[in-house]
Amino acid sequence: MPSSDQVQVLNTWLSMFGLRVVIALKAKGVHYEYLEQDLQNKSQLLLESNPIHKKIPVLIHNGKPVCESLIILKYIDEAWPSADASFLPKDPYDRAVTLFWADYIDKKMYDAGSRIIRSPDAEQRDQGKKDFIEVLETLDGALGDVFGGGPFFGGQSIGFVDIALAPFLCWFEVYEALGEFKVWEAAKCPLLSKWAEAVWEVPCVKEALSIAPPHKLVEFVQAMRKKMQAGS
Amino acid sequence: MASEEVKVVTFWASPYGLRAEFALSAKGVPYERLLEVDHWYNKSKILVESNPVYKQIPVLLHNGKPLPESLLIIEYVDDVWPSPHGKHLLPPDPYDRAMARFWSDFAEKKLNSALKSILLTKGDTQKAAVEEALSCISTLEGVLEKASSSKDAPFFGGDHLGMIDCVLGPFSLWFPAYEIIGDFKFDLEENYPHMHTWYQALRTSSVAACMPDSDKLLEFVLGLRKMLCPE
Repeated sequence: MPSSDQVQVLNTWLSMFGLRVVIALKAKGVHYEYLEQDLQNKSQLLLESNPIHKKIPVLIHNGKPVCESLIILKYIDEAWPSADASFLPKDPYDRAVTLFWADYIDKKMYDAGSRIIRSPDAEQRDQGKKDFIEVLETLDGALGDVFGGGPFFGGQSIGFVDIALAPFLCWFEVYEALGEFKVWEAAKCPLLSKWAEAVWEVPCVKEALSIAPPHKLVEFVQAMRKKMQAGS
Repeated sequence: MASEEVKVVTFWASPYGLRAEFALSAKGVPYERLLEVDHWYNKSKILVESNPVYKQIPVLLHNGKPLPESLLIIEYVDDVWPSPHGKHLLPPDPYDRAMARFWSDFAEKKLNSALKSILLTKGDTQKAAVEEALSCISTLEGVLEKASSSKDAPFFGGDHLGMIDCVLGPFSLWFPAYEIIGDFKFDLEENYPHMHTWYQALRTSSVAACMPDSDKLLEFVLGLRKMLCPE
């Protein structure tokens, strides 16, 4: 791609979906401009580039917007193809299986985690915790049975599923604080716990996740909850 | 490919299963239907074994290898089988592919949830769902208009079926039922002429052969409504 490429990322530090885009661009060595958005006061650029959903993340490549994080990941992989930094396997079936597990993370992880954070009562929060642990254990099983045991879902280097999942790690301390549990004690995930340590050390992942330090997320969520409780 | 075995585990009335069939038919790939009798309460062994994570139809079985999730199946079919006369389900350009995926996702998330709400609710909630569904149709009308759709190129894929057609087409078979249940009219010909042309073209295209009988489908959906939302 020519160096006159203009790439912008519209995101907020609170979004694990946006961090996926940042990891992906860093993994491909693409230069981009990061534009932190205020979702309480949406910018003209955001409203124009995602008029349908008005949500982040949005990738804008030479003025053309791409929305929805997994669609953006596929776009980044296809627009900046490289033999040694491809996010998806070459074989069509392996590719489809990889995309299946990224889709699984989208369908199950965010919802369970959100229920730990937002549930109004202990019963619903506990169900959220249970479901969250089940998701992790299912992913641990997949890492072993489907993806060869690791260290990454992509094998020796990170791939599509690693990029889709890694940003959630920033939120584990939030889930632990509100759910009153320790993730890697409650969930039986011998492979996934090792994956979590390894993926955080990958340079492009470490840099991207530094946008959303876990302790800052905990502070933010606790402040929000205090505000809401004071308001009610 | 000589000894290729392609099967789709599906349910006769399911729009999700039909997406997989549309994709295979559009590519001219012969396949066998494995019909579930009751995929909600009495799932077959093959369904449970081929989709242990969700236990839902459709599942594509390609030489025994299972792949669930209709949107993934469409992309897989496009990846594996050559496109007759370059008629891909997804266009070759990365940005165009992103747009095809985006609008497929829109049909799945926004339109589908509005249609489901029409099926499952009453009163003001249902009225709001009808408004939302029509708003989605209006948006899709705009997409077709921008793509300069015409009688010769009536599909979201242009002159041939693409991913969006495979995702949206099956939902459109339920339109007559939604009109009765929601007490409204889509009025495609009057209000959404490009969508009307698309709707008609789909019914005479290569995928028409795999569509269920429209009277039977209507009866089924109205029966579903009675069961899920009794008076």
